[in-house]
Amino acid sequence: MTALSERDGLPYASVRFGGVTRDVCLACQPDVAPGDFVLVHVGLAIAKIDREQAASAWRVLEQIGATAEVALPPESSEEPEP
Amino acid sequence: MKYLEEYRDPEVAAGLLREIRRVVRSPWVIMEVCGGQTHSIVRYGIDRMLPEEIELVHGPGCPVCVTALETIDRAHAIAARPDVIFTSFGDMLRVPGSHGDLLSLRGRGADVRVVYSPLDAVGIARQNPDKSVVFLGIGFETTAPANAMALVQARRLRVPNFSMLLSHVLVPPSIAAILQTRGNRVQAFLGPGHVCAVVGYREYEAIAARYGVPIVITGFEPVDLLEGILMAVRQLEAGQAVVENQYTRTVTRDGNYIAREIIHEVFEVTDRKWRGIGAIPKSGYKISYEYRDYDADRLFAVDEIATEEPAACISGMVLRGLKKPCDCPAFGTTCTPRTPLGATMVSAEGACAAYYQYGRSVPEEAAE
Repeated sequence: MTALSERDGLPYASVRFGGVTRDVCLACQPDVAPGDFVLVHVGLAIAKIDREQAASAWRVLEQIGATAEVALPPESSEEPEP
Repeated sequence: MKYLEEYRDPEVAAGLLREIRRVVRSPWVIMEVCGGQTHSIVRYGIDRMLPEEIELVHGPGCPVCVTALETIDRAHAIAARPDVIFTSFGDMLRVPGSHGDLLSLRGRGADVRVVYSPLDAVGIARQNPDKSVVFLGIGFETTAPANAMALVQARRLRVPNFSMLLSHVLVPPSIAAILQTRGNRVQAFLGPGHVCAVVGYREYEAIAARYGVPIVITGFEPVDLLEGILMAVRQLEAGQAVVENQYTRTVTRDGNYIAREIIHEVFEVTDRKWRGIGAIPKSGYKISYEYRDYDADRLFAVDEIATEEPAACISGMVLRGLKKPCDCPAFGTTCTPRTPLGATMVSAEGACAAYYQYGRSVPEEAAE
């Protein structure tokens, strides 16, 4: 997400999707700032992508990748809380 | 920061696959609800990577596919009027109705336009005050806030020549309907990540408890899907049936509060007929009484509609997870994306279109 603006009384932002930039309405996700990642559906930002959750979930996945070949008993293979 | 590229990491995907193979003991049928998930599964061949105990079946989560034929025919009648500019999403305008698709009306002089967002249709109405601008609003809960925002804006900016023909559908009642279907084989669901980003997943907790099915709210990248499948298999093997959230980077239990407020201001829950599935109680939204001046269903009188479905199309069974696209004799022969018989071959989220695009013309057993 880059520049913020306003149109017809609604907050908007420029959002880059790969190489394409579009104006996106922030009415449902006003608590965002340039640099944030948002989930956009038909021109409206509907969620902010949580960086800490993303990083935390990824650590769990990396652990699965590292331990998957080790035959742990089922009770030991539970994921830690993300 | 891990957002998209990382969730396609082949090494992590391989690790998840090994873990799924290690955990699975019994045969299980898992349905991915959302058409976006189906597309990703077929594109990356995830269903064919899984151990033979796990079968993925494709769900009804393609809003264009389940929009009732009556709605498309009604849209056709409204769009044909000379005083109307008719707008919707591109896929919706290409779905065949009883008398052809909506874009084909352009050849007969109708003004039919593809828009990226319903808010763009409000803009077209402001630029064309002498025309009636109608937006065909379809979708699941993911699209509902944008459609509702368009109606809020039309009323706030006093745009009297804008209206919406609404045919919204809701995921939880469709999951319940699948579980109640005679012959249902689905034992767990990958829940729709983007729908839950809007409305959260509390409603799914009641379904998991009532029907005893695990539901894992899941994202759309290969690693998301494999992790969602692993979480579902762990629950199935352990005899659990709860809602888990794989897609934590985007989905919270309560979803987007502002979006939910806007939906509740503008829409009311109603019974809805689903194409290929039939009527499901309380499975859709209609425009509320307060916004009745923007309800195209009320503003445009349309003659009685006699719908006509192609007999060869099995999309209803595909949408309920009872058949795969390649089980259909018309698949890839008389039905292709250029000459679709059913909506599942039109939409980017349709299972038939995904199978066609990624070369799935034969069932898995025959392909091996």
